[in-house]
Amino acid sequence: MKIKNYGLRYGDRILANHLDIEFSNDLVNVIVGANGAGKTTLLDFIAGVGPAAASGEKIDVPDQRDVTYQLQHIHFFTTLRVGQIIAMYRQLGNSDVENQISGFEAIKNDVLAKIWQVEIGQLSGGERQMVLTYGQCLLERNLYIFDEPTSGVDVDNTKIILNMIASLVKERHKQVIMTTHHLEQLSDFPVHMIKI
Amino acid sequence: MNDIKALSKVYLINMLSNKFVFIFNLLLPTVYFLYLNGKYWSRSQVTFNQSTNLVMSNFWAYIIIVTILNNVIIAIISQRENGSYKQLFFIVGSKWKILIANFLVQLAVLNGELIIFNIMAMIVFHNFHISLIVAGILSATIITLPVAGISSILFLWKVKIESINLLVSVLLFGLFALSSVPESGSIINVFSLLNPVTYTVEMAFQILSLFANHIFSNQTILIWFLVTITYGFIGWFSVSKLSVHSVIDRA
Repeated sequence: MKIKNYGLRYGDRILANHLDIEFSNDLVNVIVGANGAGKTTLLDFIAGVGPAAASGEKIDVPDQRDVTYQLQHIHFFTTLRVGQIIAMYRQLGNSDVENQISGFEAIKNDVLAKIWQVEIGQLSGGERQMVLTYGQCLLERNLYIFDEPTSGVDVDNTKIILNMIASLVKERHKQVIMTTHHLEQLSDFPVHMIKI
Repeated sequence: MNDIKALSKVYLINMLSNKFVFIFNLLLPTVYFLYLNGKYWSRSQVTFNQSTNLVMSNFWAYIIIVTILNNVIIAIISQRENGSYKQLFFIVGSKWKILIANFLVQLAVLNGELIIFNIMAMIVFHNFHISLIVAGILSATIITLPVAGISSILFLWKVKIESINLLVSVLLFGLFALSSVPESGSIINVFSLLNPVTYTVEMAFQILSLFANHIFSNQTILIWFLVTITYGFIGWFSVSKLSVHSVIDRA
């Protein structure tokens, strides 16, 4: 999967110009850059909802219907309980993942079971990220995009989230792109780093 | 279909957590109906005729339009503005599935509202007819989709969420005021039906007259068909232009 000649310009402000990016199929692709560098806009562009200001050629990027994208800090159906949200993801995706992919059974029993009856709106930011990442991983797509999935998450939950994301590539051979500001969290994970 | 079922379940649970909307959708018109027609409570049975049908049609129109605007159109606009529509779009992979799921839940809610309202009207009028209930369900089923279509035009408004409720209130007031302007001639009639309030009142009236009094205007079918096609086209165009980005995020 490649992006060629990517450009992003807001008036006189040029955020990217003639940028070529090649993504790895075998590693989690991590986009890093300063605040305002255009990371989320690049993710939007890849997902097919980029602004008119972004341009470039997409090569072998899956069709939009084959892409799932977890946004950052989203207030999503705050009155639904964790169990109800996961039930929705199971119905929309592949619930076999919970039994077949290593680690998911443990996350379900050890982490999610404790908050199963709690409303999404009453969870901490980190717990919410955990629930949504778990749900996203139940979906069956070719490309998975995560916008700062570990932002505001504690050390233990960060490891769980990164393990779930890594399993998409290692065990299910999916393509994954994520952004982060916390490079130190990735020290134990082999990743393909993309700086913009 | 499985996706729509899963989404509908989520929308239903989410909607039941916000019972406040029923005050505007159902309680307000019911109280107003009782205020206007409470005098019949102590009188003998009221027969359903063309004038009672018109009164009922106007109340149905209010319930249908306010439910569609509040629970479907503004609900989707709110979700778009807080980002949850974009998130849902990438979970489901289709904006149509999101809209259909939300619409189906609200159609069921609307039918429930009309059944409650009609039972209350039958109690006030001391006149119990199952045909009134059936006509209400049929009206909601036939009218709601075209009305949702024309109302989808609000998706194209580049208005911040803080202003949308006020603007919709003004719009509703204007549409109801326009619908009460007397008409004359068939051309004017066609154009007046482009007002969704007039369209809903007229269609509900025809269906009610058919069920209660076995009266139906053939000319209305052609006009209804033309206007419904127009509403459908506007709805399709508006939904196809519905952005996943909030107004403030659009470059």
